[in-house]
Amino acid sequence: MINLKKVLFTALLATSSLFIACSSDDDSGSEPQVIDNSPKFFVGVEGTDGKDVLAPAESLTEGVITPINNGIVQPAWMTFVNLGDAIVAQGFSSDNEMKLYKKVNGELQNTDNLFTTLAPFAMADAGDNNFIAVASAREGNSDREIYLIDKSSFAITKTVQTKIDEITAEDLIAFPTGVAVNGNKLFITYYFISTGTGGSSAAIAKEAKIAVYSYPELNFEKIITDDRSPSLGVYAGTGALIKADNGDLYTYSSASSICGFIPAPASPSSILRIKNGTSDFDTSYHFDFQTVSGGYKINDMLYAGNGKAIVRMFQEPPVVPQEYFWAAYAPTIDQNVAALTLGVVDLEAKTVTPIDGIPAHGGAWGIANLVRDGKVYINISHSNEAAVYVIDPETATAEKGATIQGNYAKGIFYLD
Amino acid sequence: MILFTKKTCFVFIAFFWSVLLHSQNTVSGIILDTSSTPLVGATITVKELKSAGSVTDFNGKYQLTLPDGTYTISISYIGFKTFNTTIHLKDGEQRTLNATLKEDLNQLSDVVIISKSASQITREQAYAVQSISTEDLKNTSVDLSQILNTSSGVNVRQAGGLGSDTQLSLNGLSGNQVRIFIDGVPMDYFGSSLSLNNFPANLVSSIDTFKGVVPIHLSSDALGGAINIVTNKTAKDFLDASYTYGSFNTHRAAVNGQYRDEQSGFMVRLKSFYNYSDNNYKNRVKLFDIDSGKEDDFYTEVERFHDAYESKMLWLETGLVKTKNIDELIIGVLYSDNYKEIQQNPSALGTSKTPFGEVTSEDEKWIGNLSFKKNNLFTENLNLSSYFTVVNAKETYTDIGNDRYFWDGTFEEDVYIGRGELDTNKSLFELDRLNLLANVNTEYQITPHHNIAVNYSLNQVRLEGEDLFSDAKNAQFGEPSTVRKQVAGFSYTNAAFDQKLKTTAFIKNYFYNLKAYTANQFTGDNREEFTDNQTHFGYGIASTYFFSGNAQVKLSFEKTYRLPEAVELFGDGLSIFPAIDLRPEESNNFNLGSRVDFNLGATSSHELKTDLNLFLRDSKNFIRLERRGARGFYQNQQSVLTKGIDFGIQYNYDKHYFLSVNGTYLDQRNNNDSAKGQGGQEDFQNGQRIPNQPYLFGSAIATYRTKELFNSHDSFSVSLINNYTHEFSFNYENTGDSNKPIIPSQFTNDFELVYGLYNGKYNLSFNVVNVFDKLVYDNLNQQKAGRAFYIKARYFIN
Repeated sequence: MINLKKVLFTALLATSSLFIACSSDDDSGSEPQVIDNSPKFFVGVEGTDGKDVLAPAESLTEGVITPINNGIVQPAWMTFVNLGDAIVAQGFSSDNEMKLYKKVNGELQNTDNLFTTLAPFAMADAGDNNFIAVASAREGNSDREIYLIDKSSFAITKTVQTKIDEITAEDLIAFPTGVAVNGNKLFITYYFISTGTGGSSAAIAKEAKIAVYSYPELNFEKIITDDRSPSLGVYAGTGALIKADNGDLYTYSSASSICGFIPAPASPSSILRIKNGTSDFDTSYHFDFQTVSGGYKINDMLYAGNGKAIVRMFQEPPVVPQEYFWAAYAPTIDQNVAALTLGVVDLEAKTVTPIDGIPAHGGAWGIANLVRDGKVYINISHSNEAAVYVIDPETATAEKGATIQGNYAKGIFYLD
Repeated sequence: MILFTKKTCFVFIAFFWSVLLHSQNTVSGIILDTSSTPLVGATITVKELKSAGSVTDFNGKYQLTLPDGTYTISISYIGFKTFNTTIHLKDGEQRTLNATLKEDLNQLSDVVIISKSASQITREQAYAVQSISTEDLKNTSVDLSQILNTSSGVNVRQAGGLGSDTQLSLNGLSGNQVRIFIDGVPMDYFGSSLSLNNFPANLVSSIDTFKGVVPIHLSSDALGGAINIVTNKTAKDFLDASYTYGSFNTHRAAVNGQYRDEQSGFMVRLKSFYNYSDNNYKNRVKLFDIDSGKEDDFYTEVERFHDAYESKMLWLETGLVKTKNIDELIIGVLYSDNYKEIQQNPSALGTSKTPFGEVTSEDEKWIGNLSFKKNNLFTENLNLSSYFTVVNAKETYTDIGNDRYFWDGTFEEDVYIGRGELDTNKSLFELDRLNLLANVNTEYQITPHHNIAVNYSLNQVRLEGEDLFSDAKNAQFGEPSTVRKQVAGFSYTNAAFDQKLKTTAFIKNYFYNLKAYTANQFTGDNREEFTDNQTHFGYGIASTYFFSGNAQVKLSFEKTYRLPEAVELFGDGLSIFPAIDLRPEESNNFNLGSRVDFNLGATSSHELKTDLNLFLRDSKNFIRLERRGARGFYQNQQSVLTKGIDFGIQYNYDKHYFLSVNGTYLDQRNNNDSAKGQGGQEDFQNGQRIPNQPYLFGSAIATYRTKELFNSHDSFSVSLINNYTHEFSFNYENTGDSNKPIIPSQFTNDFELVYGLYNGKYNLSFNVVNVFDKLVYDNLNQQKAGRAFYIKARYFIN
């Protein structure tokens, strides 16, 4: 029990800043013409000393990925985000800092630094020349901030102050869990936290809610609500809003106390859809994940291509003991109590298939992953091991790839 | 725990009466050299009564209290021939014994910079001990941390200006692993109002540094040694007042005095100080544009504007000292308070781009102390000393500002009203701390060759606190937590081969009881009571052999435990989180040392004194402060092996030119050779240096000192003090291969002039710190002050 608490403590300690790594939508297949022997894989690793390093790696399928005498030391506990040809690392050093890494002459270099007033809790590549970060104070009924960041100059070009949503009578305010841009709309998923006390536990999570803003103006437009599902996304997750090949957005709810919804909401862990070109929930679509899977709940999700998503999931008992609250945020959890597994979801068909070959493992702040050439490379870690596993979403099978000489991977990237 | 029941009170009263009825004689006098100059710090020993003895004061005077009997009195001073005589004492006699010592050209003299007499005695103990006499330093504006930083094996890292945290390491063990005592009372219980950083040198007569092995009379749990600050204990009347003014609007005043009635032994003593500084020194920082978030590609020089510090202390003691029947019975009360502004997150690496403007920490303390000493209790050669201390402290941490500050000192209203400056939520945290400390030490000399001692110490802390804004702190501190530590020790000391071989063997038993609460650090959820009760057994042996009066080897070993401190268990209320389930740390400490004094040349105009120590610390569950992001917490490191060497050389020519050099090298590494690290995975840091720990450092002091420069009663000295610390890594050295945070090498030079008149009655000193205005950093790369000037005036009379 003490071990678990220690793990949880370390895990929660790290949440003073946050982790959102987007599933990358790499266009696959094109081979480089010039022979470049420099490493193309980069893995954000929390070392066994608790320090973050952005480490180059030759391969994700074999050998070791190591922060030992290798890689760029990070100034703090960081969150890593893919920006196409760049990587953003965000964390609280002496200030809320974002570091931009790009390949220069075959070598990864820190090319720019940016500082924000508030700590971002949801970040996403907007798909154009912009990067979006949604930042929030943890306490008090004050505005959140949406930063529109120009990728090339790595400067904030617009800051919008917004409550996102609030229930003033109950002293509740929105806490962002995910952000995505689709066409001329920006969507923010959130749950409500109490304004009065510390922490980020969801106080009210009974309905799915998304705030819709115009893009790139970032004017608030509306709140959309769906009572078939509880609140969307999880604290510091990475997959609250994923985009399918056809442009449809999918979003999930966790409904789980081990993911920080205390008490767990009554409605089931679900997947909802916003069809491409619309800004409302698709009333014809509700994937009751909890019922279909036979009692599993979603911890987080990523888009694997071809209409399929990978979900990290677990079976939660009806009454969760206190010491397991937030237990999904423990990448080095004792192997004996690790409970998370993976499944492949067919989003259209609303089916889930458990993935063979993945050990029960611990969760983290989102899922460190890379989707490339039809395969999904994903971090799997617990007290005795950290490794990249290679998943084939078509067959729902997995193989162990490179091992990680650290606590766990926080972001996995490919930069040509 | 109830400390005083009616029964124990009765026992104490009966005990004091029995003591008072015992007859005592007094021997006093003055020791001069052949030119009738008083010898300061000459040693008076009693051959038959090892525990008795004295040291001459500023005027060459001394006093001894002895029971009836016949004694061989020996009066010695390094560089002089020893004077021996036999006296008979009975019926409360008051005997005067004056002596004139003749210079001994064959004997090596003591070099002045460090140690004389009392210090020398300490230095000659079997323990790996170094003693610094502060006599020469009292007129300077240095504080204890600066004095200690120039002694071998010791490295003091200060976070910022006056009043900021200091981190002392001794042979590689640091922070709480090294216990600091004031007259045998653990200093940490005086809290932040009394620290190495603000304690003036005027109050101190010597500083004894015990490396690795700690004698049982400093009964506490120390992992890597202890430092005992010995305050002025003279039985004479004196008044010592000083005032320092310097850069950054620094004011420091100290007034100390004592009155003692020779007839009755009644004594009143005052120690007091006042410290204030704006600490508004300059920092270099790369600022950023608030709108675009872009970082400047140049440094801006900014002035610290919220770093002021103020502290006061008043300590009044009264009682009986050196009466016929009692050696010491003192009762005292101490009041102190402390106010510190906090300019930036204390745990952040480097200088923050966003300064704080309203975060403060304050504390207020009332301390009551009672001490009792009696030699020849009940029977001859049975000596008892004891103290009881009660500390009632209130600490307040305030982070409730609604404004957002910029480095130019301007501010605007923060739209994010929920957050604090330091933390994601506001905090107004009040902590009540009640400490009880007690120590009883008895020593019995069976024969001049056999001595035994028994010691018991109790150290209990009760904490209870409240935060108006933080559920997490309320969960932790809402109900009282208690930590009780007890150490019982027994030692036996043997002197053999005509006192050439001295050996002390000891055992210590440690008792640890903790009742506290664990809770989620952010939310206060999952609150649970946590208790921990442990007992540990430690032991050690220290031995020294004298080849001659000038050469000595020392060998010592201790198996020691250290029980976690309140700050380690409960955090600091600011940026250090609680870690209630810390385990006690343990260590096997080995020391091999030598002390050799040389005489160079035909006359004693060249004097050379050397100390060399080799040490090994094999530590388990090593408690280490780990910094992550802008937070810190203490954790147990499974195994740490420290090997090291330190040396000190002091040379003096003609008693006018002094040179002192010391250096330390540490090889301190993670020694976790078991296959699994703390997370269960392989420990990839095995064999690496422990991070954020200086491992190569030293100092050199050159002094010229003379008397009768302009008149017959003045004195003058000029010193250049140099300190070097080699660069060290903030992380494990093998973490990553680029952008590694390194605390750079630092070489600083201080300059000091002291001029005294009327044999030290009036003194003036001028001090330049960091003469070349170099960039200096603390252990977190937060920038410290550049060049600073101080001037100090001191009046001393006795």
